[in-house]
Amino acid sequence: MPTFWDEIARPLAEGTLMTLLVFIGGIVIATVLGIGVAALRLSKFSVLRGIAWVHVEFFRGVSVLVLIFWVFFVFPLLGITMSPLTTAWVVIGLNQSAFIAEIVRAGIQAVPRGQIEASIAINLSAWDRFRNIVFPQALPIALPPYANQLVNTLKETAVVSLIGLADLTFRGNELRTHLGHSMEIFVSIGIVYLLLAYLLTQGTSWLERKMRVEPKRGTTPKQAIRLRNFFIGGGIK
Amino acid sequence: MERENPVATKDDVRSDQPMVEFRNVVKRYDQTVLDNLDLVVGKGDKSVIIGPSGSGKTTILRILMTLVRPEEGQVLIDGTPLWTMEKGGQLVDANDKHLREMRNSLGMVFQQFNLFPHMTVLRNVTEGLIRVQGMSKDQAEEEALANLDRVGLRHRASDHTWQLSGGQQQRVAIARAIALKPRVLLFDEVTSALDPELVGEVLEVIRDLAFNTNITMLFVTHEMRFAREIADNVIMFDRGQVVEQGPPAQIFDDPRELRTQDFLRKVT
Amino acid sequence: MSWDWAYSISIIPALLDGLWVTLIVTFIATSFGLVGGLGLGILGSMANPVLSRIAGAYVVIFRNTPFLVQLYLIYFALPEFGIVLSSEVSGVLGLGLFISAYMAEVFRAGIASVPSGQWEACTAINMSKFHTWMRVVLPQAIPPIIPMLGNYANLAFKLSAYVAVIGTIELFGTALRLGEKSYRYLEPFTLVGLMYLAVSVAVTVSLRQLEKRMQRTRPEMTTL
Repeated sequence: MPTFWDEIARPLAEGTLMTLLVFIGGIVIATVLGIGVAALRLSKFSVLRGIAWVHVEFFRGVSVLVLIFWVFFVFPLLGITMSPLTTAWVVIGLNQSAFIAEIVRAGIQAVPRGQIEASIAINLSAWDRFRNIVFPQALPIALPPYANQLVNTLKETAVVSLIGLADLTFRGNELRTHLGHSMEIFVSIGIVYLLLAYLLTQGTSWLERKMRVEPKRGTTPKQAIRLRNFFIGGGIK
Repeated sequence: MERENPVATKDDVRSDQPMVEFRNVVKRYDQTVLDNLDLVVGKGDKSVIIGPSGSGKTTILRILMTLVRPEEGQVLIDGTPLWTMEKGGQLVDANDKHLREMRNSLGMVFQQFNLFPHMTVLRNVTEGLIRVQGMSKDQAEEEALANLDRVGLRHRASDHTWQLSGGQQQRVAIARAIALKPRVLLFDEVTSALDPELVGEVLEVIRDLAFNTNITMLFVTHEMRFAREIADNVIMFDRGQVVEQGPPAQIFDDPRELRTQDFLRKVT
Repeated sequence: MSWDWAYSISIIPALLDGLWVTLIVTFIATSFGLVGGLGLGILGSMANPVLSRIAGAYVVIFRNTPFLVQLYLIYFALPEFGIVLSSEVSGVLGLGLFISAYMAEVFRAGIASVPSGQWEACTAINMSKFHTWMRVVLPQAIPPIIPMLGNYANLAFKLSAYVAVIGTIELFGTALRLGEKSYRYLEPFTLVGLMYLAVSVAVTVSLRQLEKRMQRTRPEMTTL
C-alpha cells in the first residue's frame, strides 16, 4: 500500500534536494564570476570595462527562460553536450553573475571617497588599499542586496524543471498529473520555497549584523569585532 | 629653543631653501581653480593658507597629496618633481611607483578625519607602518603607541574609532599621519567638522607639533587666531592665485592688498 | 548545423506577431501591477496594523516563491475550485499579481520618503485624509520612484516568457512551436533571444537616462 511518505513526501524531499543542488552550484558560479566582472567594471582600462558592461547588460537583459532553452537545445546542435544539471548551473550562474557584479560594484563604490584618500595619504599600495580598506567596508554594505539576490536565485532555479531536472517544481508538477489535488501540492511546494528563502534571509542578515562596522543596539562591540574577524580576517586583537 | 623631539627624526633644518614649490600650476574643474599658481614654502616652515571659501585652497593640498593631478605646471617637493619624472632623458607623467616614492615624504590630516572605521585606533596607526614601512607588528605597535601618547590617546589604543569623540578621532588621525614621519604635513580644515568645544584639544596637539618639530606644515584653516599664533608665513589666496604672503603680523595687522583687507574684515 | 538565413527570414513575421502578444501581455500585467502595487503600498503604509500586515504578507509570499509555481497554481489549481481561466488570462493575472508585490514595495518606500512634516502640515490646515493622499503625499511620492517602477515593468517583460509554459503563444511560445514544427531550434531561439535583449536593453538604457535627468532637475532627491 502506498504511503504518504512514498507517494508525496519523498518526491518532494528529493525535489528539494535537487533545488538546493542547483541553487548552490549556480550561486557559487555566479558569485565568483560576479566578483570578477565587478573588478573588470572598475578597471582603469576601458576595454575591460566595456567587456564587463556587455556581460552585465547581456545577462540582465536576456530572460533566463530563453537562455536556458537556447543552451539546452542549441548547444547540442553545435556539438557541445552538457548534462541538464551542468546546463542549469552554467545558465543560472551566468545570469545571476550579472546581478551580483552590480551589487559588488555598488558596494565598492559606496565606500566613502575619503577612505581611499586617507589610504593614499598613508601611502598604501593599490592592492593594500583594496584589500585592507575598501573590501572590508564594502562587504557589509553589499550583503543585504546580496541576500536579496540569493532569494532571487533560489526562485529562478524553478526554471530548470522545464528542461527536465527533477527539482521541487518538477516534482510538484509530476504529482499533480498523477494525483490531482493541485492546490495542496502547489501550496506545499510554495511553503517549502518560502521556508528556504526565509532561512537564506535570516542567515545573511545574521552575518550582516556580525559584520557591521558600528554595532547596533544589542550586539556588543567585542562580539561584533571577533565575529567579523572570523569572517573577513581583521587582525584586530 | 626646540625641545627634544621624539617623533620627527628626518631633520629638516629650518631654512630658506624651498621644501614645496608650485610653478605655474593650473588646475581646472568646471572653472579654473588654480590659475598659474606660484608658491614657495620653506623647509620647516609652518604656512597657513587663508582666503574665501571655495577659492581652491584645499586643491593646493590635494595636489600635494597626489589626490588630484594638475593640468599644467610643476610641483616640486624638496626639488624633486612630484607629478612628473624623468625617463630616458624625457619628462613624462609620474607613474605609480614614482608617486608612492614621493608620498613617503608627505602626510595629510583631513577635515572629516577619514579614520578607518573597521579598525581599532591602534591598527589605524600601525597599518601604514606595517604595510608601507615594513615594520614588524611589535615594532609598529610600539611606534604607534608612542605617537598616540603624543596626542594623548595612548589609553584608547584598543578602542574602536566610533567610540571616540570627533576631537579624539582627529587626534588619532594626526597620530596616524605623524607616525609615518612625513617631511611635509598637510592640514585640510582639520577643525571645521568639529563641535566648538572639541576644537581646542586638536589645536593643542597641532601647536605641540608646530612648535616642537621641524616638519614642514601647510594649513588650510578658518581659525585666524590660531593661524596668527603658529604661522611663520601666511598666504592670502584668492581666485587661483596668491594675493600676498608674509609673516602673520604683517598680513593680519597691515595687509597691503585690498582683497586681503576685505577678507579679513569679513572673517573677524 | 549552420545558420539558415532563408529560414530565419521566413519566421520573422511569426516572431513579430509573438512579440506583439508579449508586449500586450506585459502592458496589461504592468498596469495591473501598478494599480495593485499602489493599493498594497498604501495599505502597507497605513497605521492600521491589520491592513499593513496583510499587505506585508502578500508581498512576502509573492516575492519569495517562484513565478512558475504561482502560474501553475492559478492555471492548474484554481479550476479545482471551479475557477477556470484561459492560459492567456491566467498568464496575465499571474504576472500582474507577481509584479504588484514588487511594485508595492517601491510605492511603500516612495510614500515613506515623504517627510512627516507634510502630513502634519495637512492636518494643520484641516485637509481631509483623501485630499492629503491625493494632493500632497502621492504627488511627492511617485515621481522619484518612476525609474524603479520602470525596472519592474522591464522585469515583467522578461518574465512574460513563462506564460508560454502554460500554453500562451507569445514570443517565446512562438519560438517553441516553430522549433517543434521544423526541428530547427537555432534560428527561432536565437532570434527570440535577441528580441528580448533588444527591448530590455533599450528600456534599461532609457530608464537610466531618465534617472540621470531626474537627479539633475531634482537635486533635493539625491542622497549622497
